[in-house]
This record gives sequence, C-alpha cells and structure tokens, in this order.
Amino acid sequence: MTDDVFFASVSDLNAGLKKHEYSCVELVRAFSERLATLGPRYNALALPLTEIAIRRAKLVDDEIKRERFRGPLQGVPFGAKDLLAVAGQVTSWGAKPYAAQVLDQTATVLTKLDKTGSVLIGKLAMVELAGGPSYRMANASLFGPGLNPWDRTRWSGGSSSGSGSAVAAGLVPFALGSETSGSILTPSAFCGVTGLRPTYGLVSRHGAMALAWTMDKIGPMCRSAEDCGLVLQAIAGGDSEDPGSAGKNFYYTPQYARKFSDLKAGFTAVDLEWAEPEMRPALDAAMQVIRGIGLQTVETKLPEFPYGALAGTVVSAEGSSIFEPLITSGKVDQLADARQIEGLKAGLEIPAKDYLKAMRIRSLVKKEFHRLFADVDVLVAPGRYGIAPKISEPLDGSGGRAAQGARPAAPGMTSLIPAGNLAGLPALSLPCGFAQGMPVALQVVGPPFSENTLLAIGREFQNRTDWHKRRPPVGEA
Amino acid sequence: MKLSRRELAAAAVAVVVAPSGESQTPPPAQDLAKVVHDANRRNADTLAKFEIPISTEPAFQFKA
Repeated sequence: MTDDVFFASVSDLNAGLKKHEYSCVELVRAFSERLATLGPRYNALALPLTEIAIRRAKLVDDEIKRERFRGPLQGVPFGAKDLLAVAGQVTSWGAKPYAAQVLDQTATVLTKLDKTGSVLIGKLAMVELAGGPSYRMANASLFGPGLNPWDRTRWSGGSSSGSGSAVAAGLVPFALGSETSGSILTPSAFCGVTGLRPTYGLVSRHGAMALAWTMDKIGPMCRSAEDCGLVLQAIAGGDSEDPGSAGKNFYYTPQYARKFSDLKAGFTAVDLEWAEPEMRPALDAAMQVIRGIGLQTVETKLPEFPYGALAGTVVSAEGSSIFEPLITSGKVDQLADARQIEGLKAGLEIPAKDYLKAMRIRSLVKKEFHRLFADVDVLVAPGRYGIAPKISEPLDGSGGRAAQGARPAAPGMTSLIPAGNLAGLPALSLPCGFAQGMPVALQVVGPPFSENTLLAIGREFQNRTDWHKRRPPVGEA
Repeated sequence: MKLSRRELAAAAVAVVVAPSGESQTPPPAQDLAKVVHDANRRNADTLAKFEIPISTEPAFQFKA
C-alpha cells in the first residue's frame, strides 16, 4: 500500500473498501504493521491488538462482500487511548501501578465503534492517569515521553499523547482521546491533527478511567473535521451506565449548518500578544480565513473567574478521591512523575469547603457562558500559545510569552481551555499553520451541544486550507 | 474582595500553559510536597476571596 492510504480520510478508506481496492484484512494488517514498527519511535503504542483485529477484519470483509454496509466507519482501523477498557486485555492507564491491569468490561465507546464495523488495532500511550492533578515532565508515563512526529526532540502533548502522534504520523486513521482540561486540544495542537472535545455528557464515560467525574470527556482525534463528525456520530449517545450522560444523540449534519454569515465569532486581539511571536503570522492568517468563510468576528472577553484555581481544585479533589486506594496503599510512589505523586497525595487533604466553593463558582461559570453565547455563536482562540516544548524541559517552560515573564495587560482567551472544560463546552482544534517547523492550531469553542456548528466551521476552514493534510517526516531520523 | 484582572489572568495562564504552573527552575524533589501544598493553598485562598450569592448551589445534583 502506498503512503497515501496511511494518510487517507475515513471516507476515502471506506470507499476504497467498497470498491475492493483492498480488503479490510489488508488494511488492518498494513496499519497494524505500521503502528507496531513506527509507534515505538514516538512512544505512541501501549498495546497492539493485531490478532483480535484481523479476526474482526475477516468478519467485516464478509459483510462488505455480502453488501451489508454499516456506514462510513466500516472497515476503518483506529486506535484508542489506553484509559479505555477492552475486556480481557491490559488497560494500563499509562501508569506503572496498573501496568498489568486487566479489566472485565469494554468501554461503551469501543462497543459502539465495533458495531459500526470499525476495527480497533491497538491501545495508544498516554500520560499516567491522564495527567492527574498535575505533572511536570513529558516523561510522566509508563511508556516514556510522547514524541512529536514533526520533531522527535519535542513533546507530542498530553495526556492523549499516543493518540496525537499516531494520527499525525499516519499510524491510525483516527483515534479516541480524552480531555479533562486540555488533553485532546493540546496533543491535537502540538501534533497538527484535528481534535474534538465534545460537550460534557454527550459521549459515555463508561469503561474509561475517571480522572475527574465532572470534567472528563472522550472525543475523536482525526485527520479532518469531517472525520471527527463521523466518529462523534458513532460514539455519542445516552448511556445509563454513565451517571453524567446527557442522554442525547448526535447526528453529523453539515448540510443543515447555519449560514456562516449569520454566525458571530468572539475573539480577543490581545491573544496574538500572548502567543509566541513565531506563531503570530499563522494565527493571523487563520483569523483571515475565519472571516473569509463569512463569520463576523467581534472582540469579546471571557467572563472573569479564577479558572486556574477552579480547575486545579476540582481536578485535584476528584482525582485524589478516585485514586485514594492507590495513594493510601503507597503504590502512588511508583508513578513516573514526582510532582504527580505529591499532587495526588496533597489532593486528599483538600477540605470539602474548598471543593464545594469551587463547584458553586462553577455554577456561575456555566451561567455566564450561557450569557456570553447569547451575544456570540462561537469563540475562536489559539489552540496553544506556544509550539510543542522540548521533551527535556519542564512543561511549565512552555506556552508562550507568559511563561517567559512578559505578560500583556489583558488575559485574552488564555484561560479558555480550563474555562471551557469547567463549563462542559465543546471545542474543535484545527491545524492552521506552522512555526519553527511545528504545528500551530486554532480552537473553536461553542455552547453546549453545538458540535455541528463547530464541525461545519472546521470543514469549511479545511476546504480553504491544507494544513490538516500536511505529513510529518515519518521514518526519517 | 474582587480579584483584579491581572490576578485572574495570572492564575488562569498558570494552568493553561502547563499542568503545574510553577517556575521554570525545577524545585528539588523534597520540596515538591511543599510546592503542591502551597499551590493548593493559593487556589483555596483565591476561591475564598471570590464572592458568590448565598443562594448559589454546587454544579452537581443529587436525584433520588
């Protein structure tokens, strides 16, 4: 198979299967071999599932032969972040204490994808415990630091590190990641892939490791907004096994998207001052494309809340409660990142009054964003304010001018990632250029359940640009 | 006491740009416990200063 297959869209792969250009078994073998061979270059592969995948692929081929078509994901291989359980297989959560953990259930999202005929070929590496309350170094993982396919001396981003690098390098056509506060958007931005963080509750969390019950979301990381829409349609939906489920389905309907000229995109000009200088041309050009699509751009400000303190308190308190047995047993000391270890221990000491105060303020955050979205339809901001950092550097050295001590007067949208996650809002990360040879991304955030609007904007953005089609130098030194 | 926009921006950027939000110089391992406790305390102090209406309920609900 040519390289073009490895970088093809979901729809193109499905069309190729229906036209018998290749079989599902051939496709699964090719991607599995590529994932096994190249995955370790990026520390992206947690667990190959080749044998199971080939057995499944044979069944899919039989269905396609009998013209029993299931939809656009049928026969398409994919990878899943290793916090999603597969019954009878190791699910490590990226962490040494769970390196041999075998669970007896399969995550709802994987069961749903299986029903579409999509084939899981491997579990993908992640930051240990999805990042926990905090981690300092890129090597905070059982699998080592996630390496960026664009420059292996740089981080892939996390905590969905393997998902980001595997999609970017064409090792899987799409992957599932998760986000509590940044873990889909960050690797998507750093690796130059299209990632979608759905509205909280739209996608079932059943069978996924929990980090923060009230903030975790599972979402697709793909080569295009179109692919994200197709995957989200498959994995979304109510689930009685997930107490946080919104009980809503999602149907990807770009044909019914609102006219772009009717949409207002809130942005802040000061965001360009927060971004690293080398990124500004790409971000500026991306905003011109957004305007060119027809969206009216209006200067906006985020509601003023202490988002960092809120997200820190909620994630720390919930995460430490979830992992209380790990902490009290002492096995927490087996984790790779020293700050992660101390953060989990300290999280158990957060008083209830602090957590409750954070959750009360969070009600106001939701209310104020509801008000904001009465004036604008989406928010547009840089996905990250710096390019992917070097893996040898502490992660608090990354992220733009703020980390270098130069702070613009106004905050802009710099807190949009924690803010959006606290409010349960959906977000789409779109590759929009390069700086110093590394991907740059835009994020588009909308009100709850506005995924079709975000995806329509993303699809049109990608009709007018080709950043999402760029390929890293895979296989080179 | 209302937080200034600079204080809000500083607190938000610390989470956005990095999970830890600490200075660039890595602290010695034995100080990390103090670093995280201090971070949690700063978060608590920030939230304590944030005034909210007495009627505000937490963003979760129990249903029988």
